[in-house]
Amino acid sequence: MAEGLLTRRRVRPVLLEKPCCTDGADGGPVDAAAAQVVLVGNPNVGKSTLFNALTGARQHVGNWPGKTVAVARGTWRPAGGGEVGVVDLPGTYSLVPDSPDEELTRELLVDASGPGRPDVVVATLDASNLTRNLYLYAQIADTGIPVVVALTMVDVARSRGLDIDTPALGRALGVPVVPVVPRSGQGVDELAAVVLRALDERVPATPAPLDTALEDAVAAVSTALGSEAGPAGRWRALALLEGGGGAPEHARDVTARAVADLAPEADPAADPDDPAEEIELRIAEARYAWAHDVLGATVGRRGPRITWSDRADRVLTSRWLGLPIFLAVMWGVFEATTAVAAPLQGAVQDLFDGPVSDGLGRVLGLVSAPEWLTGLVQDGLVSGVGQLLSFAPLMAIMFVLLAVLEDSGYMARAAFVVDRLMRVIGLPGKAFLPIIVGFGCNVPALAGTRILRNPRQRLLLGLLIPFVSCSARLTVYVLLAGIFFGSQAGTMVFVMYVLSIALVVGMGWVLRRVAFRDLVDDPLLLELPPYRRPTLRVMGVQTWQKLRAFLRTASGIIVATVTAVWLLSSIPMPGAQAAPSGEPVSFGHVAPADSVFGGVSRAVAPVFAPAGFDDWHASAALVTGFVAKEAVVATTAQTYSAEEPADVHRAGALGTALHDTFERTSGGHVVPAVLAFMIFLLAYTPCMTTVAAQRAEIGTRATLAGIGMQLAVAWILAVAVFQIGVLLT
Amino acid sequence: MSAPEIDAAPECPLTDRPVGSTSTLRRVGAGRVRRRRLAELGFVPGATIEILGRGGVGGLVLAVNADTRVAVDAAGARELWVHGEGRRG
Repeated sequence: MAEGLLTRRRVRPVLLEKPCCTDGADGGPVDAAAAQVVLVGNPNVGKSTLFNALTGARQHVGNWPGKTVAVARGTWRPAGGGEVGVVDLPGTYSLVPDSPDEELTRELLVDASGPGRPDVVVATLDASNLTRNLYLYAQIADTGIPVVVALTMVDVARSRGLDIDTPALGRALGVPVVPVVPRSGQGVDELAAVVLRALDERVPATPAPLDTALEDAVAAVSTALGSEAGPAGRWRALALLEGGGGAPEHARDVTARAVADLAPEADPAADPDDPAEEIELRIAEARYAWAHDVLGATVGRRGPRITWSDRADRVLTSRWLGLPIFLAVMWGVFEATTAVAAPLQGAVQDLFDGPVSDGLGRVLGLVSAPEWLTGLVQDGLVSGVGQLLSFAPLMAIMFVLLAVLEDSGYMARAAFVVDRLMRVIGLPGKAFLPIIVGFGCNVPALAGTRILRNPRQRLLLGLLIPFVSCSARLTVYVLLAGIFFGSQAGTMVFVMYVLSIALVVGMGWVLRRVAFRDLVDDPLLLELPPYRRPTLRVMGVQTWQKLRAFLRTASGIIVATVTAVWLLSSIPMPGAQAAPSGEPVSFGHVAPADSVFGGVSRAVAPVFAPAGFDDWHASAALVTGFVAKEAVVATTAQTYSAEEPADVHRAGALGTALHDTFERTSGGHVVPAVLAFMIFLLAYTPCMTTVAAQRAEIGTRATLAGIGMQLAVAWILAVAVFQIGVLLT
Repeated sequence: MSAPEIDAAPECPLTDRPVGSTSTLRRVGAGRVRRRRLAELGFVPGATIEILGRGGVGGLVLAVNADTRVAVDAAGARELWVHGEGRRG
């Protein structure tokens, strides 16, 4: 029965047509424009390493058109000539989607038709884990797209005592099987030859046979579907039997009869999904039975099954050592993103504030540029670009750390160890890492949300990260706590960190119940890939790709924000008084209080009256805090025309001025007002670079919603703290 | 309750099995989507499950069909109903 299905598909003229015959311009064996090869495989099978070995530097990472799924695409120039487009699809365990990442694979392999349909699938199978990989292979083969198998991890399999007879595997599957070692490029030329031949011949893969009863049902439904079935006919027939997909009336009747035959014990009256579920399970079992048969015929097993990876797991996931080791690793990550990154960040910032800014100033002076232009370039653009680029080393470190933890296999163990803990905020264990990093800086932490595969979880984490108190906020806490709390300053700073954790947990709890009710609390189920040495080359290429994408997305927001703030503080308010130096007020020569920036701050200030800090100095500090928290101390000093304290622990005149301000605005309730101000600082938007990073990870709309949420939460908390404080004092 | 035993060996959740034991999966006590996810990793009736280790708060590290290493928490282990062979490794 399945035979007939195959023959019918083979004679479809469109599949037999060689693309070279329709486009003679290239003259090569493969049509450069049309040929598209996709890499499909389980996670952690070395697919991305293979992709790198094929495409080298000719690749880019970007969202798939119309989706938020990041996909690496590249050009492969195989040894046999021509040019082939290669797509590295996200790792997946099956073609039945669970997330948008997996949905994309399904759409391309099953739903796409015409030019959107891939020409050849390179099924990347892990030789050390063949049973499970063959399960995915069986689904790929059902789509009717020509398949070539790249067999990875042959060395790992051998070390585990598995001997794989590759030619026999090829015969069992009915498709070419090429062992490859993507790290060294071994086998890649052979894979090229095989893929080129597959592009030329266009023979659909032989489906993995199921049991007789199932095959009869598939044949009946396929016949009923007729030409409706499309190229992925067998897949559609199976999907119908499993209760998915639409079909014409006639085919639906045939399906219903087949389902009744297959699952006579299931009771559709009790639960209409019951028979379909029964059949889905049966198909899964049949695919595994087939995989076991293939394995039995092609793989010899000798030696012990316990690998050194298992031995490592006995320590790293153990009840007593698992958590301490995990905390030690997290400490290392935190140190690398703070202590190690800080001097690099400082060096870049200094380079821009010093030599670059001075140099550009000199150049602009030589061409007698107008003063406003020099101001804009030096004070606005250069310092903004400097701030952005100063994040580049930090981001690179973060990307490398993520890659090392992920590729080495440790991340999965870490997720297992802290799973219970993270369930408190409704996120899986892996979410711990970005949060820890967030205490150093939110920007790399947002990039770190990528370790979560589920985009909804990624979004939730991306919205929570800004509530993690970063080190830039610490400088402001220290200044304010030093001025207002004296010997209790340390305690107050500690309280801010406790509040930050409470905010993350609390907002996680609220969001889970308001906007993320769809996130079900499934029990943990996590594959633990064998420990491996990460590939440096892949890490290098991917880090560069991600860094470039970050800089591209972030630069717009940062340049726009910096320019806006510079403009606002350069334009005098109408009717402004002379500058302190006695110079007349003009563009670029205006005291902060008299600039539009001061005017805006003054206009915003009354909003904070219920929080006890209705004062333009305070709101001006908050406005610059939106640009960068590092700038808050400097702005506060400027607005009071005081020297920026060299040591924030001894604030001097600035302290007195601030004290007077809060005394006045709070009606004598200084402590609650300062606390409210500090809490506002903790909870509202961390900085424009965070906004840019957030936009890169979760999109513009979610970022704007996030900003709104942060401002609302910050204001409500500040008002609540001040009002309660006033009542208590 | 003394329901008559249909099979000789009793069925029990994986949580009842000791570290080092190998069991055969009999059924998955979970909804459809969860069963599908489990099947993708090899958890179909008849699969062999060896318990390699036990982490904090009841989590288990398993070898499924000899080659796949999977971590489940206590709730996940309770969904897996096995037929114990009683063999200790």
